[in-house]
Amino acid sequence: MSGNSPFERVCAAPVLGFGLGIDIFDRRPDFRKLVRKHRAAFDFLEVYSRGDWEHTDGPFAELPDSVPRTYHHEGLDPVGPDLCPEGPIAGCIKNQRLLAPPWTVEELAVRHIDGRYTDFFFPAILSRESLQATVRNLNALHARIPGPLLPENAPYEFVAGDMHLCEWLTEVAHGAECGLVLDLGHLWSYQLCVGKGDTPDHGIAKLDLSRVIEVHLAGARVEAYPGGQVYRDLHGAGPIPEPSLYLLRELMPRLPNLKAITVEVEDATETAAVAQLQQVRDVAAVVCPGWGVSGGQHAAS
Amino acid sequence: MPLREQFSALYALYYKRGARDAYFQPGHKPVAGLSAADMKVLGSIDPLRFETIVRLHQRDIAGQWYRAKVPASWLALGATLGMEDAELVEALTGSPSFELHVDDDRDCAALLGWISELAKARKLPDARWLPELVRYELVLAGRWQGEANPRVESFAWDVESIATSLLRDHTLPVGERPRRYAAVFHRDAKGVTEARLSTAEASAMQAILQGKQEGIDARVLKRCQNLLEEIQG
Repeated sequence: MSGNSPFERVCAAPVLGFGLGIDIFDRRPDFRKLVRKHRAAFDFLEVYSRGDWEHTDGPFAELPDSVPRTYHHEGLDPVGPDLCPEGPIAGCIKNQRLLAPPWTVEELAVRHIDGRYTDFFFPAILSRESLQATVRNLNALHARIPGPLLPENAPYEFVAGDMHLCEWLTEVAHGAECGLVLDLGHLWSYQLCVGKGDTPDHGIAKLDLSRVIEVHLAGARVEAYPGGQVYRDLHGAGPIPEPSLYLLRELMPRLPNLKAITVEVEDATETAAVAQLQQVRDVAAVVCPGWGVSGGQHAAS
Repeated sequence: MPLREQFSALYALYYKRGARDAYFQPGHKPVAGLSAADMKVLGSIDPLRFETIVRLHQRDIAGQWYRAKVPASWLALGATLGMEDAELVEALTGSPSFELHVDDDRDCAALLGWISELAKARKLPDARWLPELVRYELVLAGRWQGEANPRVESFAWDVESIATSLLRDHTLPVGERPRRYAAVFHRDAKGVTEARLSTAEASAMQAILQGKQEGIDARVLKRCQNLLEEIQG
């Protein structure tokens, strides 16, 4: 590695603990109320700006400096055939400057195809060609954006390509010398696509778990159809599926570089958001007691 | 570049019924621009699963893009064309105008383009007011250009009554004639508030909002000032 790779930089960051993923523009939950009334319930906030990087100055200014934060950007489209347009890059740089997060999360998906916007995150095509393009894009982005990016596995509703997601993620992380966000619900969404929904950790040996810096969990709904099931992200508007919690129990003790566990709670009430985070804390406390306690060490490290 | 073409093909499969029907026929008919190798990559998609998620996304587009933003207009389109949500979305996404959308069709450019296509094809004879209704609902949704707030808007049809008929009475207005509707709108964190204006009040309100009160009839001026106070809470 280069000595100052994105992966090494995120590894050097402190453990953040348990956080809430919120949309800075949402009134439900309202991050101001979370900070004012529930500050003891979370260790940090992961701030999402819905791809609207131009109107963040006001809400960001309302986030007290005392609240640790990560940033979730949108629009870099790292899995696309080419580097994204200048706007999302400039927006990411601007918002990193405003928030000073230890890293920035970006979905391994595209939202724009030939300039046309899709109504959801189009996940990566799991092929060698797409892998090469993604590594190329991430390296180009890392050369432009000051703070390290942490790419996240996107939700899958169908799969195109012949590589296993875990193998593809590992090769992206190694090729771009970066860490990863492992979204546990999104991992299960992939398994549902390939007929492995009953074994949410199928093929996990192909994933370099040392690259996982952050874990995401969120509420979801599962839609059944005659051929199987489709995972649909609901974030705070639904319960966290049991397979996501199973994956947390199974994988958390095997993540030596884990720094953050985020529960994405958009559309939840403040009370429900805090309750979901406590649910995750309780699961984590059983498998990795003491993890995330301020200044504490990872049980597996 | 093949990857670009693969994504373009996926886009077409998602939003264009014709491409989907051709591709998922037994034997996979070729999709324009795709090589045999590209077809192999996409060949791993299960047709039944794909059709299911297309339906789920049609539901999302209907609910989150349009019902949430322009509910009366969406109801009117469905009632006029005799289509349910899925059919409506399929027809809209398949139209050339769909490519006009930006984000979640935030200014309804795609929807308005499609309405224009339908009008040209004489498929909306009893709903000539639809473009104005869309514009009205966008204003009510707070989606207006510029910073002017409060603002006066005028419409060529009585869109407020048409929207009420559709949303409250579940009735599609038939035989409407152009009748001007003007109102002053105020946007704040809670949403948009409107107050109906007569023609004279609309002119006066416009002048007041531009800081030009001289020459306005005292009674009209007072009424406008009261309305402004009301809508600004």
